[in-house]
Amino acid sequence: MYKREIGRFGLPSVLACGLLLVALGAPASAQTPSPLTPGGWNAVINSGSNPYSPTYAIVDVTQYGTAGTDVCALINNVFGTYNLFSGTTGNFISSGVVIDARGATTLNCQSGVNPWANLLSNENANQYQNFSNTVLLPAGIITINTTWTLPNWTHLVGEGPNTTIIRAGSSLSSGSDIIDVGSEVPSDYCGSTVGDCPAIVIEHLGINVGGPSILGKGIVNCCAQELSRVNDVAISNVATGLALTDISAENSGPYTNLLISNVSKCLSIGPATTIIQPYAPTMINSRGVHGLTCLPVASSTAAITIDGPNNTLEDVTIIGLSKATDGILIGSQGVASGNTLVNVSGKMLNYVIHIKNPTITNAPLNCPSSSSTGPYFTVCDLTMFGVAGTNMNGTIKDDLTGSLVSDSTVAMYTLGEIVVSGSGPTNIGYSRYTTATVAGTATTPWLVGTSSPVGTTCTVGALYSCTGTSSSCPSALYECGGNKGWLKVTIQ
Amino acid sequence: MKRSGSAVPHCLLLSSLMLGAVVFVPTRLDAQQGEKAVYATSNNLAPSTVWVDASAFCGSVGTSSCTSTTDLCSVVNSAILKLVTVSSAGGIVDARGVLPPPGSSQSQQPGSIPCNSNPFSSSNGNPITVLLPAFQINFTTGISWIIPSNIHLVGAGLATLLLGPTSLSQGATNLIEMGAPPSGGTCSTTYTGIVIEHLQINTNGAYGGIDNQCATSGSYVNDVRISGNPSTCNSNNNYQGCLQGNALTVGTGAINSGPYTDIIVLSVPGSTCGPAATAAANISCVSVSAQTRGIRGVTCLGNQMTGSGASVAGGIVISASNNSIQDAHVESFYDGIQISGTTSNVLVSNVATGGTSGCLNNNVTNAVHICGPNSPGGSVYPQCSPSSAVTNVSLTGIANDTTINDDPLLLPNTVLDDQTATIIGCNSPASSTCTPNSNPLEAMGGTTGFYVLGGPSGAGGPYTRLTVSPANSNFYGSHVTPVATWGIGAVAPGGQCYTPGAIYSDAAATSGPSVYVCAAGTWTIVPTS
Repeated sequence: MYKREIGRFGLPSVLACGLLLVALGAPASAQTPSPLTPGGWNAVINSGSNPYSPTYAIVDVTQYGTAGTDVCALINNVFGTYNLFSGTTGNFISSGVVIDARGATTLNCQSGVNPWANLLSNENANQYQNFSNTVLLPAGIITINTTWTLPNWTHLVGEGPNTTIIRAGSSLSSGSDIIDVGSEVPSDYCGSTVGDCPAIVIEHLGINVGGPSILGKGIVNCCAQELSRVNDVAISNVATGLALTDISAENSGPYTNLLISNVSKCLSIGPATTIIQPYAPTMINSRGVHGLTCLPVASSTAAITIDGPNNTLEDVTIIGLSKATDGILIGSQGVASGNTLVNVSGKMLNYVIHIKNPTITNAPLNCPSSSSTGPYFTVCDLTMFGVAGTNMNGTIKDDLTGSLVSDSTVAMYTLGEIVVSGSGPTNIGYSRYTTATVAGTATTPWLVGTSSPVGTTCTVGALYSCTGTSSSCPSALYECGGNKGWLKVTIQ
Repeated sequence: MKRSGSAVPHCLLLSSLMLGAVVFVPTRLDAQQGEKAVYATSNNLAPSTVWVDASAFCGSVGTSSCTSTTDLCSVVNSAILKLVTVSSAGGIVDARGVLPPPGSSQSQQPGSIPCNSNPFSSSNGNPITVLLPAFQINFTTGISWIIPSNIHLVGAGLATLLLGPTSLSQGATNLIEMGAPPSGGTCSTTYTGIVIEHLQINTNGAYGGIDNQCATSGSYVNDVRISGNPSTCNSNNNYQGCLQGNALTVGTGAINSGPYTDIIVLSVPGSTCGPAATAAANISCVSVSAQTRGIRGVTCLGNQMTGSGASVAGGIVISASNNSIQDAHVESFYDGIQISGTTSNVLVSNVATGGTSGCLNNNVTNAVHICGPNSPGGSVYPQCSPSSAVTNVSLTGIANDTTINDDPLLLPNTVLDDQTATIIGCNSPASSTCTPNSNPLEAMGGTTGFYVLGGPSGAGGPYTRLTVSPANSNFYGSHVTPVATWGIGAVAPGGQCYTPGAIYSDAAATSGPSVYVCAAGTWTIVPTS
C-alpha cells in the first residue's frame, strides 16, 4: 500500500548508535521513555534538533530475537518486554500493542511456544485480563508445535488465507486443536470456570495441517462471546474446521468468508458440554455464519452440524464427495430451535439439509411437547430460504414430518411447532409452509393459478387456489386427495 | 523480508543519515514533523506524506514521549493539520504511538490522557483514517466529538476507551456525533464516509453514545462497545454514570447509512444489577429513524427500569421503513425489538432475548413488539406508540429465553402484534398457563420460527399473515391469542382442535379428501366434490 516504512532500530543498533552519536556530539537517545526501549519500533521524523525518534504505534518482532529465533518465540518475546505491567516500576504502563511479525523469516516454531504465553503469564500475575493486542502474521507457512490459545482482546491478522498458513508441526499431538479462542481452563485468563473471553478476532489466514493424518479441530470457540469473530479464513486437513463447543460462545460471531476443505466436518455448533442442572447441556445463540464454502471428505457423515438454538447460516455452499454425507444436519445431538438458513446450496450429498428427530430428556423447553413429560424433539421453528441441490438424494429431508423435498431449488421451507389433536392432546404433525412443488413425500405446497388444476399427480394434502374466472375456475379452492388427484373444495 | 546484518553497519548508516539530517536539513525536517520514515530509492530515509504519526506532536517535541501530554485531542488535531498540509489526498494519522503516563499498581490499570477539544477541526473533508491509541481517553467537561465527512476513526480494540465527561456542552446530547446534528429537524448539510470501529465508549452522564442524524452513504459503525462508566454507575454516585441516553441513534437524515455491525451495549456495566428508581427508563440500545443498510450483530442490555415494562422501552427501536435487524440478543428491556411509526418492510432475523444474570427485571417481555392500536394484552402488555401503522414485517428465528424467578406474573412472548391483536407466547407443555421457571436456559417465551405480517385487506380489513406458531390458549397458555397455521402430518386428526381456522393436511391420506380445518373446536374434513 505504501512504501516500506522502515527505519526500525534494533537494540544493538541503538546502543551502538547512541555511542556514536554521543561521540559525534549529537543527542543520545534521551527520548527513550522508561521502561520501554525503542528496539523494534518504527521511526518518525521530529522537529527540532532531534530528527528521528521511535514511535510506539507498532513494534517489529525482528528485533526481539537472534538469528533463527522463530516467529512464535519472537512474538512471545515482545509480549515479555511490552505488556501491561512493568516489573521495573511497578506500574501499569499500557493496555495495548500492535505487533508486526510480518518481517519474521523463521516460521517453523520449533520452540513450541504459544506466542501469547508471556502475555498470559503477565495477565495472570496481575489479575488483569484486558490487554488489546493486534498481531500481524507474516506470509508463508508457520509451523506450530503447540495449540495457539488466544486471550481475550486479541486480534490475529494474517496476510490472506492463501498467504499466511498455519500448519501443525510434528510435536503437536494428534487430536490437538490448532487455535483455541479463549479457554475453559479454570486457572486461565478468563477468570472463571466458564469464562467469557471477549473480543478475540481471527482474520485473513489459513490453517492447513498438512501431512497424512488429520488432527483435531482448526478453530475452537468454547467461551469467547461478544465481538469475537472469524473472518476470511481457510481451513483444511483437520477433523473439524470450526467448532463452537460450549454455551460461553454465546453471542460470538459473525463467522464470515470461510473456506473449509478436506475435513470430516466443516462446522459444528454444539452440542454444549457445560451442564446446568437439571437440564441437558444446551448451546445459546450466536451471530451466525455468513459466507462458507465447505468441501468435506468422502467419509464425512455430515459437513455441518447444528446442535444449538438461534443461529443464522447464510450464503453456504457445500460440495461433497459422497451421497452418504449430509450437508447440514440439524438437531442430531442437541436442542436446535429457532435457526435460520438462507441461501444454502449443495452438490453430491445425501441431503443439503437434514432435519433430525431425536428426543431429549431434561431439555430446556425450547421446543414444545404435547406432554409435560415429553418427548421433547430437538428441532422446531426452523426457517429456510433459498435451498438448492444437485446430484443429491434429496434437497431437504425432514424426519419430523417424514418429508422429502426433491425440488432442485426451494424458495422457502419453514418448519414450526407441533400440531395437536384430541384432549390428550396427541401430536399429529407440524406447522409448515413450503414452496416445494415436486410431488414427493409429504411436501404440501399451496399453489396459485388462474385455471383449474388437471390430472391426478399431486402431493396429497396440497392446496390450490384458482384465481381465474368462474369458467376457468369451477372452484376457488382445490385440495389434493389421496389417489383422487385434485378435488374441488365445496363451499357450504 | 527479514532485515539482517550486524548492528554496527546499521548504526553507521542510520547515524550518518540522522547526523546528516540534523546538520544539513533541519528546516526540511521541521516541515516533515510527524511523517514516518521510509527508505527512498537512494537508500536515504525520506518522509512518507501519507502517514503522520501523532506522537511527534506531543508536548515535549522531538521525544516521542507523550507521557506528559495534557491534551491528546490537540495532538491528534496537530497531526491532522500536518497531514492536510502535506497530502491533499488525505492519508493516515497514527496516534497509536502516543503513550499515556504510567498507571499505578493500585489502580490496576494503565494511565489515561485527557481530551480537551474536538480533534477534527483541522480536517478539510479529504479522507483521513485516524488510528487511536490503546488506552483511556478522558473527555473533559463539556467536550464531545463532531466527526466530519470522510473521517475513519479506528481504535485498537476494547482498550481504546473514550470516557465521556459528567456533562456535555449546552445542546449536546451525545458523546460522538457523526456529522453535525441539525439545529432544527431537517439536515441542511449531509455527510458521507464517517466510520467508527474497533473501540469502546463509556458515557458518564445524562447523554447518549453515538448519534448519526445526517451522515448517509459510507457511514457506519462496527465492532464497538458502548456502556455507562463502571466507576460511577453505582449507588455511591447515585448511578449517574450509567447510560442515560441511547447508545446509538440513527436519525431521520441518516438515510442509507450503515450497516451497524458487531455492537454491544451495557447500560449498567460491571457486576451490579443497576439502579431502579433513578435509572433512565426511556433509553434504547439502538434507535433507527431512517432507512439504513441494517443492524447486524447486537447485544443489548438495559437496566431495571427499561426491563420493568413501566416505560415500554425497546432495546432496538425501528421507526422507519426498509430496515433489517439480524443476529441480536437483548436483555432487560420490555421489548427486545420494537417496531413503531408508519413503517413497512422490516426484516427481523435471529433474535434471542431474555436475561441470564439473575438481576431484577433482566428479562424481556416481548422479543418483538409490533406497535399499533389493537392491543391484545390490556394492562398486562402496555402498548408502544398506539398510533403506529406497521405493515409488511417479516420475522424469523425469534426466541425469548427468560428467567422470571423475580416476577412470576410476567408472561413473556416472542411476538406481540398490536396491529392484529396477536400474542405468540410461551411454550408450556400440556398446561393452561405459563409456569415460571428459574432455569437460565428455560425458553419460557419459546421460539417463533416464522411470522410474516402483510397489510390490511382493504380499509381496515383483515391482514395477510403467515406464521408457523400455532398459539392457542388451551395449549400455550391463557394469555396468548389463537393464530391459524397450516399443519402437515401423516395421520387423520379425529378430535379436538384449539386454533379456529387452522388447516391441516394429512399427507398419508390414501383416498378422498386430505385437508381438515379447525372448526367449532373439532378437526373437520374439508368437503370436496
